[in-house]
Amino acid sequence: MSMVYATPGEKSGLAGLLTLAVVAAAALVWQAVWPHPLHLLGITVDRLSAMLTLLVGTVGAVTFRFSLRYLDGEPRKTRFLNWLCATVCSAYLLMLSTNLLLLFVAWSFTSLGLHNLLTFYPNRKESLPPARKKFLISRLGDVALIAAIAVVWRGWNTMDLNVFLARLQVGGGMASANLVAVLVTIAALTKSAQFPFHSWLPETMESPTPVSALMHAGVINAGGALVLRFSPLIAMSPAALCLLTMVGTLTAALGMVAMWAQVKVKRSLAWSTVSQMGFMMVQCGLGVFPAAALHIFGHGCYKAWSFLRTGSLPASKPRILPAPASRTLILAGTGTLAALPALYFASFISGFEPLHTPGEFALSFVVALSIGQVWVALFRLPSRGIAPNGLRFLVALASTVAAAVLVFSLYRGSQLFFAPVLGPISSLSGPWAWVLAGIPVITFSVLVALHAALPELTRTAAGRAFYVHALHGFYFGALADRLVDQLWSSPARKEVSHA
Amino acid sequence: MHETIEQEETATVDELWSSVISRVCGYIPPLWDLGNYVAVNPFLGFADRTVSEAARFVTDGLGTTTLPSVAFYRKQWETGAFDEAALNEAAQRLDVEPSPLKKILTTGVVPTRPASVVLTFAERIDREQGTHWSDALIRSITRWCAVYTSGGGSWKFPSGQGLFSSWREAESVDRTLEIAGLKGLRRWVRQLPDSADVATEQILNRLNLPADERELYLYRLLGGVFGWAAFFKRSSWEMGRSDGGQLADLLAIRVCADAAVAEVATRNRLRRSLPPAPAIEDEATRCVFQEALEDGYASRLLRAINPPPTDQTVARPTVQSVFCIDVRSEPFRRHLEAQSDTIQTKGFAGFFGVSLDWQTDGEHSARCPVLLKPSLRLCSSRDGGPSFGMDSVKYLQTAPAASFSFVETLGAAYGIGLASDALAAMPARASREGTDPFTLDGQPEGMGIDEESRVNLASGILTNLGLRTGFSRLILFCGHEGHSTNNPHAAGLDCGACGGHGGSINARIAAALLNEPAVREGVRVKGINIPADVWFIAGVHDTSVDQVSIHDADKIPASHTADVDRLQEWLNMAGEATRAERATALGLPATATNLKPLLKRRSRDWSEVRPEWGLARNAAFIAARRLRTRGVNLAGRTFLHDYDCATDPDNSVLTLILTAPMIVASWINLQYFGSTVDNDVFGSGDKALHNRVGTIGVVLGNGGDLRTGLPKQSVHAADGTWFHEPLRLQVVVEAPTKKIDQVVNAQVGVRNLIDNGWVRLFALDPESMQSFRRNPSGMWEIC
Repeated sequence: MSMVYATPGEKSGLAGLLTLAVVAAAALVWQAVWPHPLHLLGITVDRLSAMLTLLVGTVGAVTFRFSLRYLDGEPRKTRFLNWLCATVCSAYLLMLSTNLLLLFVAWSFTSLGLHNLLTFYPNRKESLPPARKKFLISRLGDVALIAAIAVVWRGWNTMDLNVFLARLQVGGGMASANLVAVLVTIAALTKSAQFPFHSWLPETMESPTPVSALMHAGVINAGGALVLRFSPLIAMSPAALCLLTMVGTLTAALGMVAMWAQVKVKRSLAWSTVSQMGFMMVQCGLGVFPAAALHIFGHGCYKAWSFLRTGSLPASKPRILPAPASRTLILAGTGTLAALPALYFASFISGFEPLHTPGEFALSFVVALSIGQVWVALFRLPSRGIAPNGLRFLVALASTVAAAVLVFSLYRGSQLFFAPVLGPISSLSGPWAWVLAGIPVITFSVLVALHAALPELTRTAAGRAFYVHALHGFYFGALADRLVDQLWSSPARKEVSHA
Repeated sequence: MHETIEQEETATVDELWSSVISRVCGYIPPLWDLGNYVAVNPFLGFADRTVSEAARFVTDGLGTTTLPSVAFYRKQWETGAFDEAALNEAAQRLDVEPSPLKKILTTGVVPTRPASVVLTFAERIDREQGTHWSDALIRSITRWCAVYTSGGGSWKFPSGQGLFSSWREAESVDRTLEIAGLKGLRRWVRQLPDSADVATEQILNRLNLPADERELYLYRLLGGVFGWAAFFKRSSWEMGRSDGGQLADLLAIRVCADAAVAEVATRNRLRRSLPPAPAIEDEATRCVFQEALEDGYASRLLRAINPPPTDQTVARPTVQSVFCIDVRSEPFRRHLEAQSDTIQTKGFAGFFGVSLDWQTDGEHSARCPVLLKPSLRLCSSRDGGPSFGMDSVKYLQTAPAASFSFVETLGAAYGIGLASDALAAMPARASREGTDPFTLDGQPEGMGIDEESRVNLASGILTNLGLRTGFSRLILFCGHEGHSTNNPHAAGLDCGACGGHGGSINARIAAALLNEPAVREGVRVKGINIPADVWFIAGVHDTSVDQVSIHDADKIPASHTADVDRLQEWLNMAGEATRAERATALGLPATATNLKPLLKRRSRDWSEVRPEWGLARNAAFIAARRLRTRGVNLAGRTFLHDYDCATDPDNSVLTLILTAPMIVASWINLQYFGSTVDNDVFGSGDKALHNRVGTIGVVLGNGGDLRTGLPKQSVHAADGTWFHEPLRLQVVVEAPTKKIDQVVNAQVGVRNLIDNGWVRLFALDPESMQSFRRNPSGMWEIC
């Protein structure tokens, strides 16, 4: 009934994408029940690839269905839908590929498809600079990935990722392995919009909304998926782990501060993606790969829905009452402290051990900080519905325990669920790993303090200047534009001067 | 001696600039935010000029298309929408030589005029040096406007400063434009005076513009930020102030930024060589074509109208239904009346005379035409407010650290949201105004309406409605609202007379008022005798699904339940017929038996860009007795207001009609006109690119100017043709020409609109089939 407007071609496109999603769901159930990965024709079906393809397939089918009515009247709609399908299929294949050549082909086709979607409106001149930036960054990623594949071929004489990872366990060739890990990490950082390759992402609103939904929920995960696929190798390379943690932390912090300043709904969501992808990379860098996989799935669903829903007016403005920084900090601190016994209790219930590795400690610390923010939200909201402070206190305590148990159970669940694929990975330990874990822990604590101080900060001229810098993403976009402009137009200028 | 002379000279220059500035600010129409979105005439500032003159000025200033191109008229000519006789007549009326006109339409040689191009300095530098400073400036300024008006994102930006000084402060630290190549911009901005007026004066005097270019120069500067200019205009317009207010601040910003580029980007003097002016199709010629095209429509309309009734005695109707004048009411009323001869329908502005300030959930909004000020404050006595949980979730989505844990714990739940929205499983967000309890008494303090005002309000409603006698047992006040989801412009589908909201609450208040025994007694003293067996009910017409629901069913006395049941049955049948009539235009088969579920699904489909056609194709406003239009298929293109000149000896009702509902209709009409003809400037572009700025408005893609009018999808059909036909409002009043003249001549604003051709006025003789057209000269001619 709902499809009265669709043409037969559109219906079959939708049916195809739905089939992909259903197949992925079936594979996930199958792998959940009987966790024996299937290797076939260069692809691997396991719990990780099933989960990632379920996300890509679902988001793909939903955005396709959305586009059918949303682009009603667009003369080049068929072309759009074709590219949408092509991009979804490439990304789907990418999540499954373990043959490195196939992986590279899917990787490049995803990028090509996305480029065509991002430049869909030829008359939107503003779509070109960010698309060009992205194009150049993607080629840089291609080079890194190709180089990684070449080193694997030379050193281990295989194009199969699983074979490579198996041979790696035998030992030897640590220098080459380190090189592969760093190259793969660089490729992943370019794909998932990590600093300094992030600035195109908040500028790609010049194509229809479903493109943003697909990009932010499906395609952007390709970098994370790559790292997860290579996780046994990455976990052995301190250089790659350091790179992931540091770049991820920087990106997460930068993206978050920039997001706070944005006033346009899509731009704010885009900066949020930058920040969330940063945190996912931090999780990879600290070796808590199952949590990163959980993050990719949750973020994908949340972001796809949020983008497609940007047309809805908010029912009412959220009315968090302004409060002095000290009061907010006390609330956040109290909440964080209250989280400690709750987390202990949650650890007891769920079996997740917060002090087991530096990575798990950092994760738990972020959860504690988050619970602190729940306290801020509860106590700074105007008294509607829940009036007396005593009742609020009870609600806060209950939320603290509930949140702690829920998060830890999810972490433990994902550890168990992804164990056949992502673990047991030689757990990271030693003093350097604790130092590494300290980077995000300290950074996010500083962010909590900064966030509390924002209202007071913005009362000073320096604070307002800081706002302006954040609004513009600290100018990395403008600098990159300038650089790309010089790179892109210099051949053109040379041609003119020769003529 | 010398000093004095110099001072005098400066004084005259200052005065000139300030008067130019206030004139230019006057050209900008106001714009309402998305929550209260109503149609505005984009040419509001030009009512005292003829359409042809204004089109010329706006085209030159904003670089837009103001009138359809000759190619459009040629197509209409070829399909026979107007003929040679109409063309000649129109030419004569507008004082244009008729002989070459036909040739223009047949051979294709179009007379053109060179555009008088006054460019901003940034635009001139761009053209000479191949740079893009003009766009970069507009992006930067509009971005700051968005921050300033929305008070920041989740990181609040304090609102202590004025627009100009806050821009000045931000621009003096913003490195974006310097990185792009405007070296020294921040230092340049820092030396600007802190006051907008002083800065404007200082810079304009330095720019050394020729006197005849000043106005167009400033207008063009505002044109680059037309949407934000309109948004800032709203507050001074509502307060009736002539000074620019924040709009003057915006102009100061534009002046300073333009001068900055001129002085920072180029150290060497600009060549004063203007680029070759583009050729523009002559506006006067196109105005004749427009007039001829409208003559064709108007004569078909007037021919369709019924002769005056010979027998005035009518049996008592079983039910009277009062609908909004909105064009979407017309098909529904026609189909409702077709159910039974005993049904009478009436047209009245959909706020039913209740100028309401409605407060709910701690937020209040004006529920009356924007031309009026709310006079009655009421609030919902329902408890509650924004849910505590949702507000916390909103906060956690952007809070430090918590935003990460949030997507990990609750992200998967959004997968359920994705699935349910993709299947359109959730019902459209219903407005609660059909059920919210309220009281007319002064509860809480400052709300409500006293006894005397109630009686005055009730008698005013009945008098203006022309319903002083002949009451039926059951009288329905039927407001209307549209239903759509994920649609930033949803308010544009609601009732314009209710300030861009649904009409339920106004209808319920009107009905409650008139059911009060004390009010009935009060109006009886004033000469309106409402029989005891009369009961007023309220309802709402869902224009997306064409379904009318009746409110407060529990309050209906037992004596009337049978009447209401029968009415509901008739309403359902009328809805069925209206849906079938509308289906084809929405791309649905008219024969489909399941139109209602199809339309319902459409109204809750988050990807639907055309939930309904709104007021598209509107073309005429008829103020007449319903007998003159009853049974006539007006194709949903006419605003219908009931008017019986026999009951209006002092012209007060006609004055009200022409100064309020007619103006609102013409605002809507010209908004559709502008949005259709040049959607880039007067519309709001492609919905697929909309990027919302809070609840203020939308921008396209990454950013740029705020958009003002209707989305492309609301006026252009899916096949790319224009769904809306750009015709000016044809106003038909059933009254003697002398009576109409008395009203028009007393109301300068109305007369300007008519004489300058922004609406066209026709008189329908109450006693015959004769009709007259009022010419631009103010004379009437038979048509």
